[in-house]
Amino acid sequence: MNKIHHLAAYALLAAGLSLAPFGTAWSHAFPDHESPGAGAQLATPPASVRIRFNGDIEPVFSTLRVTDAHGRQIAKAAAAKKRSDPKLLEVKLPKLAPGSYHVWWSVVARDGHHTEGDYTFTVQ
Amino acid sequence: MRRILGAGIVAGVIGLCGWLPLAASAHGFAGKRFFPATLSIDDPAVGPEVDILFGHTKESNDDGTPTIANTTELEFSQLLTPRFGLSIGTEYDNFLPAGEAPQRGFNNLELGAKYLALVNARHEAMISFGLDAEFGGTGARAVSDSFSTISPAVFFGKGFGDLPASFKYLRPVAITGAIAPNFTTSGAEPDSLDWGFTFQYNLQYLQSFVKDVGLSAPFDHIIPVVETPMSTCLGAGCGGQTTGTINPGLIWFGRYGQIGLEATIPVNQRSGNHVGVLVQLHLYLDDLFPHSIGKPLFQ
Repeated sequence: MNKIHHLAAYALLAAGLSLAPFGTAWSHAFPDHESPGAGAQLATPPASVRIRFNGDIEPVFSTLRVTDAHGRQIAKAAAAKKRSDPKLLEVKLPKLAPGSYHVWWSVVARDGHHTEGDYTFTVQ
Repeated sequence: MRRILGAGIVAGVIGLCGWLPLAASAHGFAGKRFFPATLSIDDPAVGPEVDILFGHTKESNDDGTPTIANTTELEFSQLLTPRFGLSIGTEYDNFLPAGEAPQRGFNNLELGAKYLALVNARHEAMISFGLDAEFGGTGARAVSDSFSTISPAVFFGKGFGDLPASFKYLRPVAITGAIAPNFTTSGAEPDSLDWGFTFQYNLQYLQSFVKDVGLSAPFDHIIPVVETPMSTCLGAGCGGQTTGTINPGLIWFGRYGQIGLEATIPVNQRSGNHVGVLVQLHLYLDDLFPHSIGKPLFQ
């Protein structure tokens, strides 16, 4: 009888979960790949900063900018452009002088969830 | 029938709430810091979630008989506002004392409320306040207490992402903690103080924000963690006696949930003589159902 109770409990739980409507889910977006990577020491200046996320992001509400060691903005991603890759955030860079650079990103996933982050890389 | 009451209520609430028109939310973030739902000590975040925790250990019952204890905790949390949530939960216990009849059944029903009072993104800090109530007599007599317990609680979390660059490899570290006195409704039962900390090293934080060390899925979403849940008796006969465990383990988090595995190592003889294990399955309802059950009832 105890086994029956045990099974009945899990059946009820499963039934309850099944009643919840399963809409399309996108969840919080985390970086899958960053180029250059966090903490990278580069012999050659990168032409761009590219961050690929693990989910689709809303370009209008997502930003990517790069500052130098003094906090001056070097580049900022343009928003609201239709893109072929909805997971990618990218900004083209001018030719960078040797030094340390800071990447700041803030994205909103397709369901409205916000995530943010920052990291540095160095051009030698 | 009494034994399936707890899960039935949980299931019913989950099902009914799935049809309510709700609004938006997020879980466990202070800036770029993500605080996972830890297995033994409640994290400082509030959020819509389902938590299932399996426990297995060997302990001695009140008679000193060696007993294998298998437990399954179920908890469902829902947000009323983006910072205030309610939870309901229970636990199915299966105690197997050596040479004696098994004791099985659902433990008492528990209700909780939690308010997220502070989130500081720059310093990756979070503080919340909670109130839990366990209702005596709502569970099976064989495994549950006949008295009730009221537990106000304070939860906190602090990430170390604001450390200077010379300590950059400590930036993925975070500490969370909780302090909760337990007041019983029975004069014969002593009050107690639950307290504990978690120490976390977030590999996703390391990989994405500090140093690309070449981690790829699934290793780039693992958080090694050590939890130290303790309970200190406040009663006259046992005042100051502390029991607890040290729980080293791993948490892996994905887009819609997380899984966790921890060992439970008793800190003293009074806490037991055997290492146990905890296994967690935790679902982020705000990510699974962002347009329905995952949203707070009121914005």
